[in-house]
Amino acid sequence: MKKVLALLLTGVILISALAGCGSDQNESLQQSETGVGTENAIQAEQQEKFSFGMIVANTAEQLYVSEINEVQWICDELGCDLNVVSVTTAEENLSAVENLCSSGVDAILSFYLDSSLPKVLDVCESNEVYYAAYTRGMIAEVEETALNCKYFVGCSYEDEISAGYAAIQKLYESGARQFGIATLPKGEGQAADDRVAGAETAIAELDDAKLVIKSTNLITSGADCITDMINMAPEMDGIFIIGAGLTLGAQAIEMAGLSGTLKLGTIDIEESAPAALEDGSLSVVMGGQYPDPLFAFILTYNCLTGNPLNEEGELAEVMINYTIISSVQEYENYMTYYENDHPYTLEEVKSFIKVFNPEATLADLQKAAAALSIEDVIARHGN
Amino acid sequence: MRKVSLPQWCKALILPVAVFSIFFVLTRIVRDNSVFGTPKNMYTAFNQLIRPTIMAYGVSLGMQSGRWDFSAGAMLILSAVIGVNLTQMSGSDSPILMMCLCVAAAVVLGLINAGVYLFFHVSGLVVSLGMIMIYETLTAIVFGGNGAYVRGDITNLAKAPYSFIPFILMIALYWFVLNKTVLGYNIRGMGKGQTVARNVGVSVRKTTILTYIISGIFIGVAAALYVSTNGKAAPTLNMGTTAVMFESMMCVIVGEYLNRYCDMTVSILIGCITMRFLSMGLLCIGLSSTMQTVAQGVFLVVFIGISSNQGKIEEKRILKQRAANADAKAEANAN
Repeated sequence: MKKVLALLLTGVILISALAGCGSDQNESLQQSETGVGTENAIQAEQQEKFSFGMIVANTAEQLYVSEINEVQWICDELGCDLNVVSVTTAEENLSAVENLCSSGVDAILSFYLDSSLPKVLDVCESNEVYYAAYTRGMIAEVEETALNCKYFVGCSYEDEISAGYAAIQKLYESGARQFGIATLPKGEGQAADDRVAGAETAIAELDDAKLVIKSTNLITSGADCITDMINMAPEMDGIFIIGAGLTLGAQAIEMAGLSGTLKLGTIDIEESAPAALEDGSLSVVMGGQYPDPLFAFILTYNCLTGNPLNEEGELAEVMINYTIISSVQEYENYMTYYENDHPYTLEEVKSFIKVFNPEATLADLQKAAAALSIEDVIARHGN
Repeated sequence: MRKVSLPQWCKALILPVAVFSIFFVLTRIVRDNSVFGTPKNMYTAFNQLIRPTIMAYGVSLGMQSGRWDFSAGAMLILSAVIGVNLTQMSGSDSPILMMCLCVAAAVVLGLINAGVYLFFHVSGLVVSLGMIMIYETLTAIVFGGNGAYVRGDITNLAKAPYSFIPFILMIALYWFVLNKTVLGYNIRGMGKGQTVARNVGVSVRKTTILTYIISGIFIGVAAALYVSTNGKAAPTLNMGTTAVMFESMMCVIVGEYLNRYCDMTVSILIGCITMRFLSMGLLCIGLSSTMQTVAQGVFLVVFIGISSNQGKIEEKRILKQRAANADAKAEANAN
C-alpha cells in the first residue's frame, strides 16, 4: 500500500512538472498565434536565447569582418549566441555544418548555396537546425529539395547582374566607351559570372561602346593584371574590375599615369576609395553589401520563433541593392550611415520579426532590402 | 662540316630567346594587333619581373642550402603590413623608410624561422608550413587586422625607372654574397649535404642564421615593391600567400637548371625573364587564367623532365654512335 502511494505521489510530481513546462510553451505559442505578446513580455524572461552558427569565407577581409560584426550586433541585442566558422570549399562547409549542429546551434547562416545543399539540408534536418544562405541566391537544381525541407529558411543575396550593369552605366556616363573587364575564370564564382554578365549586357546595349579586352587573371596577377590590360589595349578608357579591385586597380592606373583618363569601376569599398575618387583614378565603386546576412538572420529568427515569413512551398528570397559611390561626399555619407552605424536600428529590425511586430511580412522585408541605399538610410536615420 | 661550339652563356640564353620567338609568332597568328614583343610591352614586362626576381633571390638562398621555405610569401605580406604601418605611424611618406622597415621586419621574421628550425631540429619544409599559418594569422591581427594601404609618393619605388635602383642593388648583393663571401660557399656546401658540410668545418648554425637574415633582406625589399605595386597588402589566410611565393619558386627552378651555363645570379634572372615571357605570351594569346596556369605547369614539368634526363639522352646517343661505329668496323673487316 505504501509502495503504491509512493509511486502515485511520484507520478503526480512528475506529471505536474511536465505540465508546468507545457503550459509555459503553450502560453508563448498562444501569444505568437494570436499575436498578442507584448514587447515587454518578449524582452523579459520569456525571450528565447537562440544559438546561431555563421559560416564565412574568412575572418580577415574587411567585408567579412563587417558581416560578422553586423550579425554579432543583432545577436547581442536579441540575446542570442553566435559561433563563427570560416571555410573555403563546399566540403568544408558541410563539415562546418555538421560540427555546428553537434555543438548545439539552433540555426546556421552560411554563404554557401550550391549543388551540395541537399547533403547540407540532410544534416540540418536530422539535427533539427535551420539553414539560411546569404550572399547567394537559389539555384534551380536544388530548389525543389530546398522547398521540401522544413529546415531550409531561405536566402538573401545581392543583385550581382544589376551591379555589373550599373557599373558600366556609370562608367559610360563618365565618358568611357572602350571597356575592359578584369574578372575570375568563368565558373570560379557565381557572383563574378553574374557581374560580368551584367556588364557585358550593358556594353552590348550601348551603341557606341565596345568590350576591347577581358582578362581572367585578376586573382593570380593582382595589379599586374590591370597593367597587362592597359598594355595590351591602350585604347581602353573604362575598366570594370569585378571585385576587390579598388586599391590595386587605382594603383595600377596611377602608376601608368592614366588617373582621370582611364575610368575605373569596381565592387567592394576599400579605405583607399576617397583618395582614388579625389585624384580621378576611381569613377565608381559599389558595395555596402555587409548587411546581407542580417536579412538571412531575420528570416531565420522568424522561423525559430515559429513564425516563418514565407508560406509553405514559397521560397523566401530577399534581394539587396548595392550602394553606389561615385564621389567623396557619397563615400563620407556611406561611412557615417553604414560603416560607423547600422543601416537598420534595432527597432527597424524588430519590425520585420513577427514576435515583435505581428504585421511583419516577407513582402515588407523584400521591399526594404530592394530600397536599401545611402539615401534610404539617410532618410530613415538622418537629421 | 665544322661543329660550332657556343659559349656557355649563349646556351643560357637559348631558352628565353626560344620562348620569346615562339610567342612572338604565335600571338601574331592569333591576333593581328598583338603587342607582345613591342618595346613598350617589353619595358612593362621587365618592370613587372623585378619583384619576383628579388623574391627568387631570397628563396633560392634557402633552396641552395637544402631547405625549401614555403613561408616566404607569408613573410612578404606580414613584413609589408608591418613596414607600411610603422612608416605611416611615423608620419613619413618616404619610400626609402618604408623599404627599410619592411626589410627590418622581414629579417626579424627570418631570424624567428632560423630559431625555430635550429631549436626543433625538424626539416625546413615542416618549419615553413607551420610558420605560414602563424604569419598569415598575424597579418589578420597586427595593426587591427586592416592590412596596409599605400598611395602617392611612397609607392615611387615600384615605378620605372626608380624600381631599377633596388633591382640593381639586390642583383649586386646576391652576386656578392654567393661569389665573394665564405657564406656563399658554405650555403652551396650545405646544399650538398649538411653532414658533409659540418664534417669539413662549416658551421651549420651560423650559416643557417645568416642565410635566413640575407633571405629576409631580399624578401623585405620584395615586400616594399609588392605593396607599392598593388597599393595594399591585405591580410591573407588559408595558405593564400603560397601563390606569391610559387611565382618566384618557378623562376628559381629554371635558374637552377641554367646555372650549368652561367652564374646563379644571371641564371635566376634569365629564369624570371623566361617565365615572364611565358605568362605574358599566354595572356596575349588569350588563354584564360586557368589554362595559363595549366600551361605554365606543363612547361615546368616538361622543362624539368628534359633537363633532368638530358645526360641520359646524350649517353644513349653516344652509345648508339659507338654501336654504329662498331658495326661499320665489323663490316669493313668482314669485307
